[in-house]
Amino acid sequence: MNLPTDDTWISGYWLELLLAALVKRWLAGDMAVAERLEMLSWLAERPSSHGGISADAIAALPMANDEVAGIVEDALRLNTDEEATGFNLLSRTSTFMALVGLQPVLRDAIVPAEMR
Amino acid sequence: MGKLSRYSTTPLARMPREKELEQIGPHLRALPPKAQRFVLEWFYGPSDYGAATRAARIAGYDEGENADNAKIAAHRLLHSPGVAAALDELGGKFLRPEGLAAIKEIISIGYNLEIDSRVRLKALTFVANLGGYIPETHHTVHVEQSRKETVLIASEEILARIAELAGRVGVDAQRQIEAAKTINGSAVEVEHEPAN
Repeated sequence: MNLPTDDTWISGYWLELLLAALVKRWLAGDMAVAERLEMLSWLAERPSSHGGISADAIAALPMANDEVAGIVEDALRLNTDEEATGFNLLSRTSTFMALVGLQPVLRDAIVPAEMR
Repeated sequence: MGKLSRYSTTPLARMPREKELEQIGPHLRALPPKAQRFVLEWFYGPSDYGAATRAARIAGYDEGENADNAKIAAHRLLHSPGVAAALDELGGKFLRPEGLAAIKEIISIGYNLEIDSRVRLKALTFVANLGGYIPETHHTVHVEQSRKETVLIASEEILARIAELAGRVGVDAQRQIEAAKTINGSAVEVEHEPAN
């Protein structure tokens, strides 16, 4: 099928995947128990969220590596109270593809084993 | 124009032919045609407020004898395991043909003066690495985490909850428990020096 390459076609699905990978990375570090519980709960709620990611995909998603985490965090800092610039950037298909280039195992969460 | 009508109801996705559906995978193929249309419109369409409702409307969930409110239908569909599986499948399939377009886009991000310079630098570093121009890069990651006012004690109940959630989301439950115990199990008395 023809797949759109125009970046006005953005998807919250990519954003949710990237945020989940970043949160998994944060969970590998030190933090207060309340914060750890909150982050784990946020991850567990993703399958029922607007993003439509399956529970299997969340479970298989690796934590973001140094480069991906750095870029996603930088992008998030672009968000302001008025504009979700960072979220919009991370929702772009091309941004996701670029980040998969930096960390190919990100795709394993959503690519069935037989397709890899 | 109200929030709910911000998106055009002009379809954005082309419905795949049967052979194309076979290539995408079994989960999308298993959905009824209306749900397939919803998945494709939601995936390829905008992602902001009202986007799912728009996809449900285009898929025809607010039409016919068993008409459903498009917003309710969108909510129901996005909570459906079949739709979630189809979205995962589509996401994975989308990766391959987009690879070259992605590299092109990284270049455009790198030269876009309206984007934060740190993001641009990383984009250009990535492109340079692809071309073999930079043999080694060093990245410093600054992680910002907000302090929580709530103080939770790592009780057996809390640790059990952490283990259960960790297992569900695919992180090492034992490490999460150990980390939670460590933070709550040590206290260091700090003697402050008098201010000058």
